[in-house]
Amino acid sequence: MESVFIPSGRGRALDPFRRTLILTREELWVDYIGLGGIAGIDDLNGYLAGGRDLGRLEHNTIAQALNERFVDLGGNHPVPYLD
Amino acid sequence: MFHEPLDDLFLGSFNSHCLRPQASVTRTLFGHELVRWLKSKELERNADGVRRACRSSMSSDLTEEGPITESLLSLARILFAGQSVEETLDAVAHLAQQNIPGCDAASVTVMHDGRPSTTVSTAAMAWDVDQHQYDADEGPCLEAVRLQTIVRVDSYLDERRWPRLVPAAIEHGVRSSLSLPLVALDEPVGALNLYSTKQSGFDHAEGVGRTFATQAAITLANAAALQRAAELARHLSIALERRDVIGQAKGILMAQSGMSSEEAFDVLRRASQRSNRKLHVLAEEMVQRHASPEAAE
Repeated sequence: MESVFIPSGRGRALDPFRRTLILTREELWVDYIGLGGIAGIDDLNGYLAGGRDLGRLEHNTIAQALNERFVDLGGNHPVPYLD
Repeated sequence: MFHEPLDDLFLGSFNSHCLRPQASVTRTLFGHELVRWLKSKELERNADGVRRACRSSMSSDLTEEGPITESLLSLARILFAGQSVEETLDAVAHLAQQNIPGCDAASVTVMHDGRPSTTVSTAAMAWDVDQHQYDADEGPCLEAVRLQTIVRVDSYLDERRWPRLVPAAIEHGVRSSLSLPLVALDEPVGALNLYSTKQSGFDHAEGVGRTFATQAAITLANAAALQRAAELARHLSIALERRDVIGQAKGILMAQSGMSSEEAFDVLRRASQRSNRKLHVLAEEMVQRHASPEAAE
């Protein structure tokens, strides 16, 4: 399956979850890299701010990183993925 | 000592106090080597700052650069010894006591969530008087932090500004004090508190004290930045281990089912969602099952 590029607004939808977790962008980037993400921290920041595009796989990897933080807090994957 | 790519990777970004590693990082760049390199870069910057601070902040109280410059440079050097922020603060307080004329005891107040606490002190007198200030919510140290200004008390016997603090200070033998705000990046981070058992003990020490406090604040900010860098390196090391095992699990899925890397990730994250378990844990189990299928049965 080829990775499709997602309109930049999708990234902005992830940022409220990060803020809810009181997670810095640097901390999120480290988690994302640990899950296999390949974007640099500048690209991640740009994506969350809505000014840069990333593919579906990277979006879902960021969502997974956020969801795993929610798992630590007793939650169950509240951040939606792109199918 | 360090190869060029490492310099390329971190040099510019660390100068702006923001680590911005690239996606192509490898595990060899992290751990103790990274921390040592960060410290060496920080030391160079710090030492230059010390020299500039000495040249620009010399006052009439401080006409010779030699001994004070050396003591300030030693503040920069302590970062090389792998010391914690607390150890750095301790060195700051002792160097201040040794080098600021009239000083019999020194302490460092650090603000945590807007509340002051004494992190280190060179003598019980300083510790006790600091505590009295916090309990009474008044005193020169708190004024120095809150107003970001130097507060000098020449005689506690004649002091009327802090009626709850002064009797306790006198009882502990304090006769004069100098409180210097520690400001880093325009933010008040604490105060350097100097106490003397003599009246007017700090008549000619404000200039030296100001120079010293400036560098002490920079040292504190740098120590905190280094601690953050070390913490980041530790977290990255763990993340890269997890990334490795997730990569192996994806490889197994791709080999077994002919799926793409993205599809393999989807399989794993859906399993994570269904079981509400972390992806690297599931990947670890899959790799173990693959390595020894009989053990998994």
